[in-house]
Amino acid sequence: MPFDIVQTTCPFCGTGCNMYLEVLDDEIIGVNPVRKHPVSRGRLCVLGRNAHRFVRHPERLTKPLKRVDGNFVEISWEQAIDEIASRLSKVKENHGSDAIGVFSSAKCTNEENYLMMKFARAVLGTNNVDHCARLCHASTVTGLAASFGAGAMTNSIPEISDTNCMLITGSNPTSQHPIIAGWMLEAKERGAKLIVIDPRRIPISLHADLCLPIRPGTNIALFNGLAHVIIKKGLVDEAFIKERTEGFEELEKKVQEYDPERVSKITGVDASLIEKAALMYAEAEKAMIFYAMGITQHSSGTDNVKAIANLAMLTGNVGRPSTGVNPLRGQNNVQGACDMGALPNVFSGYQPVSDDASRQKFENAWGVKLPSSPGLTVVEMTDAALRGDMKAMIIMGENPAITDPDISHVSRALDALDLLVVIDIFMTETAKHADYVLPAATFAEKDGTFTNTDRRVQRVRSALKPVGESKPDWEIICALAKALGSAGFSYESPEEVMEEIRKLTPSYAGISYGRLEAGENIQWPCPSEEHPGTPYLHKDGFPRGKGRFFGIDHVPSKELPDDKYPFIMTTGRVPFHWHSGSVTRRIDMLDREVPTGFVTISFEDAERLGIQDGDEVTVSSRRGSIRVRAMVSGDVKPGVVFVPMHFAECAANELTNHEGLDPVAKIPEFKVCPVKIEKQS
Amino acid sequence: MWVDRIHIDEQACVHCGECVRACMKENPENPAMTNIAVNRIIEVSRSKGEIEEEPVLLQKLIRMSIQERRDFWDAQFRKCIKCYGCIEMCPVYLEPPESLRFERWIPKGEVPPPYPAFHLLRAYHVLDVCVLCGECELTCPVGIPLKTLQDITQYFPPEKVFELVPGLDEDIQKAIVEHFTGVRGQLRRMDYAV
Repeated sequence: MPFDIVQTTCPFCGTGCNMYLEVLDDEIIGVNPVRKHPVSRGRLCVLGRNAHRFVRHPERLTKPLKRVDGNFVEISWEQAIDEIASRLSKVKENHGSDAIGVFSSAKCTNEENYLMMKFARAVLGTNNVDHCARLCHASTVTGLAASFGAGAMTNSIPEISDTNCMLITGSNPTSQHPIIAGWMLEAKERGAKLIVIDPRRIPISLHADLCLPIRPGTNIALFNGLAHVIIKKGLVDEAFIKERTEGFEELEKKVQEYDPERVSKITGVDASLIEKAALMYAEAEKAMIFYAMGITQHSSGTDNVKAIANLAMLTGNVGRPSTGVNPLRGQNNVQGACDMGALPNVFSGYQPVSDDASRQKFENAWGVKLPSSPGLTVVEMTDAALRGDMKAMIIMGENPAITDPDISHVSRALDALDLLVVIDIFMTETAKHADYVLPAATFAEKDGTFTNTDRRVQRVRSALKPVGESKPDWEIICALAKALGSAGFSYESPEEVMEEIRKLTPSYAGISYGRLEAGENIQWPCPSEEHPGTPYLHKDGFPRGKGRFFGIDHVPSKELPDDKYPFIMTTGRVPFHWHSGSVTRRIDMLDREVPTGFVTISFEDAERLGIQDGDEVTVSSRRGSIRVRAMVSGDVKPGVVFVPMHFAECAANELTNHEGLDPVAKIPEFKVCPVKIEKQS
Repeated sequence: MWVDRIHIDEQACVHCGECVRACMKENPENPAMTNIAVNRIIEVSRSKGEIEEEPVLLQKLIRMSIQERRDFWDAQFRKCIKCYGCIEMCPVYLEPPESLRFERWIPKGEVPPPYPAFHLLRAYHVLDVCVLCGECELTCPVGIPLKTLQDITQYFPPEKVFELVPGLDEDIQKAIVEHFTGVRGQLRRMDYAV
């Protein structure tokens, strides 16, 4: 009866809690929180506490599968790798490298993401590599890069305990980042102020000093309004603006047009609330802004983020502890996947592919010629597939057939491909479209590192051998690369990959497995082995030199409600499920809590349409329609409805639009989708 | 291990590890003090007038009016995100009796769960076995003072509990009282709190 306890990092959200897996006889029998961990402090949420329950699930894929006449048959690894390699090289020969696209994964380790982007660029010869950050925080990366020069959470989670004011917008922390919500509630009880800006009444609004029920898609107007009040009342940090920023005049001129009355008309928030919120935020000595998908998933995502950065710079709330602009990242390793360069325009450490010096550096290290023009993003790749320009795709640990906008469009695109290879742990909705499905290992069956939302690089340790014939993703990528004749993929362990990452990525240069094993908790940038890591960014200066203010206008969402589709649907998550549900819906305890989807509708609208709580209704948009149960509730305002995204049988993304992309970040507009609701007779 | 040298009742031990933390050989940097040592220090400091007595949470609660208590617990229980950590981490938790099951009283998927039924039911699930280790409070992601709730159910008869945590529905009160009538022996005593 061998028993072991393995410390690892939680595979769900970006908070990066640590847990002990209790292993008995090749089975994980329990999860225990880690008391000494600086972020999780002996706490876990409902997902983390059940994280072990899917690892040995009977539906795990255990053998490579090949589609023969519409059915999947089991084949050997050798056959799978050989056939995929020869078909990939055929596509490359006939249609060129850019006819191949790669989805990397924010659920996989840093090492795997690095290898995947190296595979795409050095072996396939294309920059068409992207991952689901495109659908979550792409606008953070572009927006904060424009304002500050670096797109990551500026401060750390433990700093929340010392802040004086928290402004939460477009984020539902008690559901999506419960451990961070714990820090916030603690700060609130100690006396910090709490402002919540959200179209819905979310659980944390119950504790807020001010709640601003904003109309979806009007964020810029509101932030401009806040800036207007702050400037008018003379609450700006003049020294900070003078020394550290540029473009203040541009902002000042622009926000003059946004007086609280006008903003109130656009956003539906009372003018007096706007003034109060502005004063509360600006008068606090240290104020933190937290935001998530409610800000980024708009056709104006990049500008929303810039407007938030404006507010922080205006009040000097950057570059000090317990302040800053803090995007809460959704996936366990979405920060890491971006850092590793699983994006179409940058190598690891955000070194642009179009920059000759950085490309030269990677060409020398890898010994191949690399493409210089940025590749396609997630949504553009599906479009290209449908047009017939994209012939083959490799999807690692992602489920675009549920999570991408307008999923019937995505399904058609996946079916149009000549070759689709999916690497995953379960038979997901995406895998059902595949020609080859390769079984991967879960977080508990492989080694590596995850980078959490506050840039903390943490170890993931293998507790078990992979189930059946499944393999860790890094081994699969290396096998594919070798079969395609590449020499640069003979790694013995993820540690060797990390050594290569450190050489090529300045911000990770000091982060070695040795230091992590010794129990250090390192936040990048960490340029050398002696460097202790960086808890908060922009202390002495911004990466772009001076912080840049932007004067931005409110632009309405691409698709607005009209007579035919009168409601605005906004999408989101429930506390008990995770993204496409491929993992959490297989965990009994979580599935029991929320077994299927629903639509939240206000009392007023329900009464007008004659809908009772629990009635079956049809929600339809210009793309499609779903049948769900209505949940009549005071949590949403009249005119707004909410549908969770997890459930394949009534997926919110049947309805969402894939066309209204943010021009810079290419993020689709998940959060505003006009729909109509009909009662089922 | 030094702990091996002391007698541990295998039937009673819940593997909480407090003995290891308390032992100055196992934990030389920060050993816990015995109650006798703590009491002596308090006595000396008190005679010198060095300590201001800050009442503990339970004492504060007892002095509150019923409305204040209700507001206090409401604010605390509203933070709940229903992670079930208080149950997962409990070293003595067993399947509750039929009449007190969550399924019977608590709607699924609702966050925060209805005040205060979820929390009082849970506290009563472990009424006769709770060892007051406080793991429930330590692991609570939103910092609800669950150990104090545990103290209340352990040291007071049900009528008093429903008054110290007011607002529980009559039918659940009845289910609790009926289940524990005659089952439970003497209450634990905690004279100094009251």
